[in-house]
Amino acid sequence: MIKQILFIALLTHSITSFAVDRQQHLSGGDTTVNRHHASAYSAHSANIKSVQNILRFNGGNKFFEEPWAESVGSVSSQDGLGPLFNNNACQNCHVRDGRGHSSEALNNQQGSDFSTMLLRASKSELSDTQKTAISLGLQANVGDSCIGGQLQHKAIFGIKKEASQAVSYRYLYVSFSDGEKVQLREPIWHVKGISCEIDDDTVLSARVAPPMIGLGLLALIDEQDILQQEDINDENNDGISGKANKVWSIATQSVTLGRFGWKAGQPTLRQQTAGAFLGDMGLTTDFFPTENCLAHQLDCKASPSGNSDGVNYEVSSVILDKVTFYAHHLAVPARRNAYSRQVLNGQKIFNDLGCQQCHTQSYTTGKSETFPELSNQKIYPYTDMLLHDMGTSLTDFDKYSNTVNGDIPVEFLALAKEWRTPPLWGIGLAQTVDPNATFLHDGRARTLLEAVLWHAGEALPSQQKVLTLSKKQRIELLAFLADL
Amino acid sequence: MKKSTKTFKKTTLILVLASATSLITNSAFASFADDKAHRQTASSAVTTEQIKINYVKIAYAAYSDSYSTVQTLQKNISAFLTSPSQLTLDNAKEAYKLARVPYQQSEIMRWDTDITINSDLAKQGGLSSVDDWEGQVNAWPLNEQAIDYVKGNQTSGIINQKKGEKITIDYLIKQNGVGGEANVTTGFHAIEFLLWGQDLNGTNPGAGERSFNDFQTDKSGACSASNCDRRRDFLAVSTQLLVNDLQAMSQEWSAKAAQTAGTLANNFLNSEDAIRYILFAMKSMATDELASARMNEGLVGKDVEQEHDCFSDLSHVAIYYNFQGIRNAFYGGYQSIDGKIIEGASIADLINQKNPALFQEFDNAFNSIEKKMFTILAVGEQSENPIRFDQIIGQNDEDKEKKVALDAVYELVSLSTSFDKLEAILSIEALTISGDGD
Repeated sequence: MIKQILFIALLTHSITSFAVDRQQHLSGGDTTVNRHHASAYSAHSANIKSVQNILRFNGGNKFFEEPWAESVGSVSSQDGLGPLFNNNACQNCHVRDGRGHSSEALNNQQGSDFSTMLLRASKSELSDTQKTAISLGLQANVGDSCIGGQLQHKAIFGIKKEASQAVSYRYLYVSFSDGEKVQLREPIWHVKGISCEIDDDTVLSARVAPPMIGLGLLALIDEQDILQQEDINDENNDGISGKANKVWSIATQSVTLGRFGWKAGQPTLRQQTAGAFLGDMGLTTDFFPTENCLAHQLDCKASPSGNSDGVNYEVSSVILDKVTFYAHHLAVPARRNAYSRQVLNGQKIFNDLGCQQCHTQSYTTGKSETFPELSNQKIYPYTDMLLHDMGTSLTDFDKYSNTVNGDIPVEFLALAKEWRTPPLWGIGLAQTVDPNATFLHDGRARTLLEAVLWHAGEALPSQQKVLTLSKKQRIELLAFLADL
Repeated sequence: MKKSTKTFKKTTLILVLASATSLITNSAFASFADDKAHRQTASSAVTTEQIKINYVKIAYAAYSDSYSTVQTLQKNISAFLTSPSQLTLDNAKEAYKLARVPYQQSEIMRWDTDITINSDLAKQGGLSSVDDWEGQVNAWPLNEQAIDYVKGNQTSGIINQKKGEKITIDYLIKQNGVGGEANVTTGFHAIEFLLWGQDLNGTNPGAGERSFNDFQTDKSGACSASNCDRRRDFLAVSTQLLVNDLQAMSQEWSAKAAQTAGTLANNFLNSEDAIRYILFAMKSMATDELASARMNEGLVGKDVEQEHDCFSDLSHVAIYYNFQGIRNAFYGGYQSIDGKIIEGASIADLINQKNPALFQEFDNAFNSIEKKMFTILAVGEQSENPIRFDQIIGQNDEDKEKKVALDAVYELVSLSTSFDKLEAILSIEALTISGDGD
């Protein structure tokens, strides 16, 4: 009887919707949560059931969302902020566990809202030894001599700030073949060191806080599944040349596949989290035990640390592990209308345009004893986890906001023009979670359509095809993206 | 040293208070669901509309009590500043403690982002959400050195900026979170720090021990720390701001507000997600905010001040009444500090009519958790050798009170499973969620 029903179901399936994957609304497999409100990104994996694991997740959440105080606060496990920092709580950049935004700026004015984004800085005039170390994945880059590897725009009381920063926009229009126009805004960055000058050869790279969902699943994609998509020299001549980043893993003391961050500069979520604690909040951990004060920042170096609670780091390893566990288990929300005709048509257009060449639809995660809930899940992240040339306009820039040579390495093997394909799952809820959220690494795109239209470099042929879509097809494509 | 808690009753606690300030009545510390009669479910069917209307009444009562108890706090602080003495300081501290009772019960209202984020309520002249408003009222952790001197730094904080701007409400609002969000300059915990000072006793008994002479006038010659006038201003002004904030919030939930577009009450009543929001708030408070952030992280960590009322050592009161807020939301009622009962159609009724077994599951769990939470309250309040939450943090896991607290955590988190069942029964969107800022 059961077999019969199954047979009929299969038959019906094959007639009405050939090749439609009927599981794909569960973007994160069994971990997927059925949520679509402002808190849609804040749930833990649906299949976490044990009290111990819920407590670990919630414990991580506490330290992710509550602010850290400067040293030496009464709550000693939660102090040590700064001396230099970008923000004082993870959640303040990753708004409701979602993405950040770039500043608004009215016509001809500068916006200075850098509350959910930051600028990285790396020198491009390097010694041969440095170049070699970077090309081997032994070293990320060499930081600017004035502001270091990242511009921290805030400082605790009594400490000199590093630099001022602002953004304004120049507006341009692209036209579809049916005549409809879309306005795009291109950022112009205004950056100036306060007590010193930023180096002439420094490459600045703008990074908006990315969403936190599904990261533990991405961590469990088999390395071979990622590497076999590589085609560094485009030997198959399809115009797409995915490249894996090779980065230094502190835990294993070896060069490893880079998975996380806009340029895939971090190998694991623990290292990514520890890196953000230090770089963004000025909090030391077992991975990064030294405050990031530069030689010339004497006040920064003299500032007291938050280690006084008998732990060697401002963020204890126990707390770092909890936040790492949290970062692994933020669940991806289920799709809402995956099988509607409009959305399915949009999905077909997405594939026909070639978007799936980089935005790889699906994987099955590997097995992990540490993360059983995340193991063996069929997932739909829409990323190949590889670096791609995204064109001149999206390339990193210098202190005058001029685009730099795209072939300069800025973060291990990742070049100034290259970005890791970001996962698209959950992206349709980005502005439900935070109406201020914007898209692309520097937050320039106010809508998903703008983000699509900024694609260039390897994605240029696909972007050109988008411009020829009919109005109906464009609506379908966007309906598909909005449903993710 | 462990004292029996059998003899402790909430009325014992009230009598201590009543001697300190005549403004407090005997029912002040009672909670609605203490009485078994209030935990019964309705015999006839309830509608979601009735539940929503009742919930607004409960919210209004809890915020009105919060408003009136901070007014009482203000009166006691005025008396203290007029004539600083141990007695007037102790009265102010007792009034702070009383104000925590309704406020902590009201915190269940906080998880309202989902129903307010697209409503643009602030543009209509009122408050945008409880969650946004809360940051000025109850923010924690608080970096006390942004306010006043601390051990090892006698000149830190706004109070010790001799030539700093005059301390006004606008100034404190402007300074709140400057140089880091933990640089809290407003709300309950700022007042708590001013009244008690730093708790330097570690896991030993004792809260902060600030001298009342910190609040003598500069010209009196009796000022025991520098800049007493600025400290007095800070205390008076931050208290006034708290009064204003609670007045504003209680106005958002009045019967009149419920009829007025743009208020939180009206927005709630018109929200299709109102019931889901109540369940979501209960689950978030129980399994995440209370069990994890406010209890477990202190209990399993080694940081004795990882507790919300770390200066006053009143966390046992704070967490007990947070739990009462959950029970109030579930059983659909609230006992006012003047003894008045507000009750009506409840989530419990709704669950019971859909699935009596699940109601029983919740009811059993709440009864069991109540016993444990009450033990924590009782040992904190017993007159001889009280054991406060920071002392429990310092205990070994096998010690009696620590075990009770950890069991309460376990049972609170275990409610997740019951909420999962509830979600399936009511066919609503998943409630699986983390907290939403603190």
